[in-house]
Amino acid sequence: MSSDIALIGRIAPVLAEGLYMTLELSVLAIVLSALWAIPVVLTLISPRRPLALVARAYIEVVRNTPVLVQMYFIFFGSSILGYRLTGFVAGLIALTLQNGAYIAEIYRAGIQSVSQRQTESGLAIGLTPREAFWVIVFPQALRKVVPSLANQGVVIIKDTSLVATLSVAELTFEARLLVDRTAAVYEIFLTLALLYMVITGVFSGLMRLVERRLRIVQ
Amino acid sequence: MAGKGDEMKARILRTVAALAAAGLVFAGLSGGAAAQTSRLDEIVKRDKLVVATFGTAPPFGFADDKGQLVGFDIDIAKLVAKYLLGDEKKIEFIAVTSEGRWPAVNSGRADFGIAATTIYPDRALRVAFTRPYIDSGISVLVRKDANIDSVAALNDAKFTLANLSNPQMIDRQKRFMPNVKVLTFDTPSAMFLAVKSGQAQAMQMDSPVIDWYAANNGELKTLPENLGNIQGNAIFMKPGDFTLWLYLDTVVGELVAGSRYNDYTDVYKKWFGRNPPPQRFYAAAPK
Repeated sequence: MSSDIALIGRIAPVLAEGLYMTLELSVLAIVLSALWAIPVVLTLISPRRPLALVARAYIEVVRNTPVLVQMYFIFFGSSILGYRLTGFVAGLIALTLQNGAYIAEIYRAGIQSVSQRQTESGLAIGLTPREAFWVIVFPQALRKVVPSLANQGVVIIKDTSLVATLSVAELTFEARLLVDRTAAVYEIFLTLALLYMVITGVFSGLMRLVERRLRIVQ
Repeated sequence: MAGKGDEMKARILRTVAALAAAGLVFAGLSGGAAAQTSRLDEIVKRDKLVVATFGTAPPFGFADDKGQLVGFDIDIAKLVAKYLLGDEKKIEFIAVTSEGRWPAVNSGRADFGIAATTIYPDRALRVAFTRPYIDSGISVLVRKDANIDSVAALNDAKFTLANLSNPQMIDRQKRFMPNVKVLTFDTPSAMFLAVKSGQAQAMQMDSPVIDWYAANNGELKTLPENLGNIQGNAIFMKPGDFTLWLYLDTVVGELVAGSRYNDYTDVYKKWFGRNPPPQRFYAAAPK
């Protein structure tokens, strides 16, 4: 096994292109999931039972199917129905639907952990229930769940590798093409793993900074 | 006298040391030669063949309605097991993807691979091929509703071609259809799904695979031209093991043109519905 520095030099530019695509997809998936999870969680904790049941059903379905299956479904299914989606879009939708559900659960745990007295105090000083939620409860909930959100973000980053099967030219896709061309399996997949570790490491570091900034001394 | 005695001792010690070193070298040499066993011996000792194959490339290797792995490649591999170990059931198959077939044999996980794999010079750098066990060429499968009648017509940016991830596919696409858009997948079945669902209008693959898909799907058809020459699909294995290579190459030779031609004909007719090429160019093909 002649792991060359020269080989790394040759494959680096190819992987760099894939890296850009992975970052683009990761950022979009994280942001969209976090946003999509908000209406989901509001529906989930809604006092109106039918709405809450719909949200619960959606979460259960999406949690119990592998995200890769969902990606295939959307990618090929959209085309059969006549509205052809690219691999990037299909992958992004699947990632958002899946992780939106998980993040909604995270939000819910955070919201329900905020003491009822906070809401009562808010109402007592004259806020409407909606204002009490958005101004007092939700920010505190978010602050509590930053570590869980960071965790989910790492999962999203790793799951972007699945869109390689939909012909999206991100890191894993480019690595597989390189392996087929050079047969340097170990070198390439080792480099790939290290790159993913760097991305998730940077992301986790950022989230730790966020957590520290948001911490309130009790 | 002290000086002379020491000299003698030193000389004796040196001689003993030299003899011991020579002895070690000999032991090392013969030990080394004995340690050079072939994978073939391992297979016989293990009494089971482990073979890498495609799981989604009909008619070479695919899952039938009952979920069993079947196909032309599968049957050829079973014949090898029969000849080598006496029983065609003494075999285990590992399904691999297009880029996974090389490490499957080079890492030692599989004894050899038989996976609709065409012989190309750059592949011969990384794996050892036997002679071909079947002719191949590359055909193009298209959707009838795309109204494509030739490769030249496919060379248009409004169409999408499904490729496998290997460099030969990319080179062919660049050579024959540089304008077409490309989607790249890692298994023939994903390519087929892309064409069937409309994500792509065409795919390129070994002719027998294309013929199979066209025969079993009314809305798809084969383009009349082949891309490139007549090529050969072969068994591949980790390079360096001459004994294993010689055995497998001999078996293939006997199957396609020698003492086992009848077995070959049975398998060929089963999957392609016609006779294989004759044993000799100067002999008539069997009826």
